[in-house]
Amino acid sequence: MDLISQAADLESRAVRPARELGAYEALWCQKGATFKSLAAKFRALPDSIPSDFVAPAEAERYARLALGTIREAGIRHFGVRVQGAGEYPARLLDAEHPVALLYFQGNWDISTTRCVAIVGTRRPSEEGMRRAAKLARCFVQDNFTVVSGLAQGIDTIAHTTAIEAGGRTVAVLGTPLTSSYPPENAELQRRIADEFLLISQVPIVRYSRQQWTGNRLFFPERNATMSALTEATVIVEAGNTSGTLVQARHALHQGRRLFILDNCFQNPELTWPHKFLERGAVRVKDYDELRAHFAT
Amino acid sequence: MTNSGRTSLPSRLTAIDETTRADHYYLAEVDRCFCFGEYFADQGWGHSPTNQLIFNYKCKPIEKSRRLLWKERAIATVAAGLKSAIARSEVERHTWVPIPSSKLPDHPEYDDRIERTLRRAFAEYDVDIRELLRQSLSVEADHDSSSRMTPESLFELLIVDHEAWDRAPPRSIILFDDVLTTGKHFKACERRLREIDRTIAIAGVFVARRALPRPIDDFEKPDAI
Repeated sequence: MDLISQAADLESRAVRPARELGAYEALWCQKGATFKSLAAKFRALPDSIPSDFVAPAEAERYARLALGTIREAGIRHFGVRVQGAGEYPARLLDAEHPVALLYFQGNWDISTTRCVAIVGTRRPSEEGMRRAAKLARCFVQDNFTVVSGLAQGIDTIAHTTAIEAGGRTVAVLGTPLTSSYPPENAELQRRIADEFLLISQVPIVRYSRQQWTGNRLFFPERNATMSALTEATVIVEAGNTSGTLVQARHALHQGRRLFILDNCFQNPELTWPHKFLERGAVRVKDYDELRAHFAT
Repeated sequence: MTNSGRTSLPSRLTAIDETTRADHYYLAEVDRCFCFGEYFADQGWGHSPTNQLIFNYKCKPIEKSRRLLWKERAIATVAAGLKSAIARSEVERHTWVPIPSSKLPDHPEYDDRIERTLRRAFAEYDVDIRELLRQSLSVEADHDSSSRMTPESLFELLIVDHEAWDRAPPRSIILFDDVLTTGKHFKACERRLREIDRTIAIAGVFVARRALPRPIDDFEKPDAI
């Protein structure tokens, strides 16, 4: 393998983003494709990129399909990150199933700043909303970038508060760049793409070919990437079955810090806070406590 | 300046293609340009590791010695990146031509980092590194200047060293530079070289490309070369 790639000329060893995104889309349209199965493919062939697994004509065909959908969605400017080339962040390799490729819109350099994820339930209490906003404001004041998942509830509050406070924000989508969920966040998504950074690992063609029951599985998958991209995750409020807990699990697995707000422990119906505390999460009462942790 | 930026380059180059070409408005579909990294030209809040590497790499020779230490480290990083990304047989197949410095050798700000990087990267190889191009006079570097040069005036400034060319006419040329911005330096150099050999293969290799976070509006585009 090494000999072959070494002998190849400049041209054939170079990564071509359009070809790679086409190959990635093609791989995702194969039966049974998951982030897990794709990651296993790449792990088995070190230094591989999507086009190593897809015939050139097939990659080209899927590239046309994906690029066409991107154009139809009115997206005039976007980029991709390919594992093993360019600016693909090494810290994404800490994920259990690192993504081979991701799409983005906006200013990628924001991802190189200190990033913290603020996540939580889609249906927060009044108190939860207040806490999420306060956290986002405090992190912005300390020059952190606020990362979240553009979902309803805590995510939306985290993004909008960070922007209102004059800070930076990154949204890691559970949909392709070409879709918005929930639909009422389409405008916020556009604004983050224009002024900040929007990231999606979700394959465009596969997403367009399957129903919601299949597509909703992309949401928890993106939490692994969000966690890997950030140095810590803070959970504001979440139920026992919340998707937020997926991120909690990944954060600890990836060696990222996981903070759980004290109020989550006050609710006797919740079992997860204690479970994650035992596994290494940190219980925090207020922002001052959080800040002290980030200073070390 | 407080950090070294990234300390290694990726093991593969990335080709400029349809997803990125619009950021470099003088480049056409037929142009073969490759880069290692990318940074965004839209910040008011800091520098990415790649931007920092470039910043150190471009540090002027008249700067303080502590900063020049960072520059030497950046040169070492870029040289190591070139060596590991491109196979020896491939390196030796081409004539490597530095895109000329904006200053002439007699200018205090003359910087030979581009040529020095190539020599360092391929020191153990039987490689053809030749300064086939130079400028007829020193000008403000593009990143320093508020009034940027047009591609036409850049082209007018470029001189080919015919004697160096004739010694062994190149069969394939790689133009090397640190940053691909609009693509006008690459295009101007290419145009000069094609005056001598109309059909020679010419490619560009860059440490990084300057990306734009938003599409550039048509009215902002300068006239093409």
